[in-house]
Amino acid sequence: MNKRGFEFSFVWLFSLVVGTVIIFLAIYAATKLIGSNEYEINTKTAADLRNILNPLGTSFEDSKSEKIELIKDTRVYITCNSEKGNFGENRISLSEKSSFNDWSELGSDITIENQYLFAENVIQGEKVYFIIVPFEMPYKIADVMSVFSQKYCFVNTPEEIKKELESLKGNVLPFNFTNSPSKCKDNSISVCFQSSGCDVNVKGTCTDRECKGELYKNGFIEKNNTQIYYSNGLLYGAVFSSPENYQCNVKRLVRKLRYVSEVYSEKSRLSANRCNTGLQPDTIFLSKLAENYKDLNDLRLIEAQAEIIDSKNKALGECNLY
Amino acid sequence: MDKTGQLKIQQMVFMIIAVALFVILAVLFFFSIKTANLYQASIESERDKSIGLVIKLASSPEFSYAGITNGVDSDKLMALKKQPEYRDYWGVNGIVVKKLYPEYPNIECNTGNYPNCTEIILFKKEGDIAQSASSYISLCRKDNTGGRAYDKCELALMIIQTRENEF
Repeated sequence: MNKRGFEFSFVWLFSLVVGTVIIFLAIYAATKLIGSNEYEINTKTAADLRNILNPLGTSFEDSKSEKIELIKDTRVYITCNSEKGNFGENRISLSEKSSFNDWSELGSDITIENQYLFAENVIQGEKVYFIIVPFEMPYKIADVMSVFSQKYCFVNTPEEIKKELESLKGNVLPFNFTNSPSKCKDNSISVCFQSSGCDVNVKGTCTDRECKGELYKNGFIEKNNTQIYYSNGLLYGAVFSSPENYQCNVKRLVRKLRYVSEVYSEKSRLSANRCNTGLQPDTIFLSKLAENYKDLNDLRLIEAQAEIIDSKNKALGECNLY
Repeated sequence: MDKTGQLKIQQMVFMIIAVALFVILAVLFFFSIKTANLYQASIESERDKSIGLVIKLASSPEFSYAGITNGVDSDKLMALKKQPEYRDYWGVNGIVVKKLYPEYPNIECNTGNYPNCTEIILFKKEGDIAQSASSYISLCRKDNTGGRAYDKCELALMIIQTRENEF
């Protein structure tokens, strides 16, 4: 028997060192590759989500609802910037739950300039729900897209709103209606009307003649210890979004109101010899009010001017502006 | 160290260099395919966006004509021509509306010849060869005969020039 034992030559030592380096590099490359793949998938999914938002908008209908089912449990991060460009923007980025029960690397954020996503800062789930309502001031400005993934429980819902929510709900939305917050399921967000004690409390304040008995046409929403004003078409946006997101998106909507009013003003001028509406000064004034918008308190002034235009437009008959 | 040992080390070094080169080439090949796929995906994504947009654009507040399904208001289009703020709003390179019927000689609309013209170019990127999406629409405006207002609508095509490489 050879008693010298195993000879640990330089060749062995060299191959061991190089082999370790190669294996280390291979593992490092594989990890990076999986990471970049997740990043790519998350970015692509966010872009696909952006693409399906366009056809979701309303045409002639009052409102609609949609459900999008994602392949995996996903976190959708939604941000809003009202100062970017002329119309502001929403940005969405995604992170899917990976096989190791961890969240994958956040994909690149996708910019959306022509949609208004009213949502919490992060939405998590396999199903994403949409309620799309037109925002009219007094003509249609854009669609208010409320995005959420959680269950909602509405308490003491006024008949008119309940009817609308039930027609939107269909087999799509996870809504429940009760008469007491205590009857709401633990995993749902409670929304109270004209009372407190829920996660979201809605206080209708519309008692003017123009409200035509619709108490909730405008009012306040109490949420996260913040009170925010809402007006026609913004109720659901205020309920389903975070206060910061809501204020930012309303600012974006008002910025769009400015430009849409300019379009209507120019339309009124162009068609004056064929069909004189005489609404050019009113639409210009509305555009100026929108230009000077600072916060939600200015919304009431804008609403008042919109009411004036609307009543004048109704009186125009066949020659109306919108 | 004897000559056999040195030879073995040289062999090993050559082998390692060869393996490293092979790995580098394989990685380059893999990434070139991956990049090509990503580029294709970005083009497809932009095309999907344009198709979605062209379907919905006719009903957007800046285009829609009240009461007519798929109706686009030509007065609003002329107003939009004057608003550079909208140039980047829809994320496309160009929006053009062409009247198809009744047939007229092709005349681009401007404030001087409107409404006696056939093509309203909201904006357009010259020399752009990117794919485009189109949709048939009713191009409408208010008109009047004998002091009575009516909706005058003509068949038209709305063309959208896709913007590429937004990722």
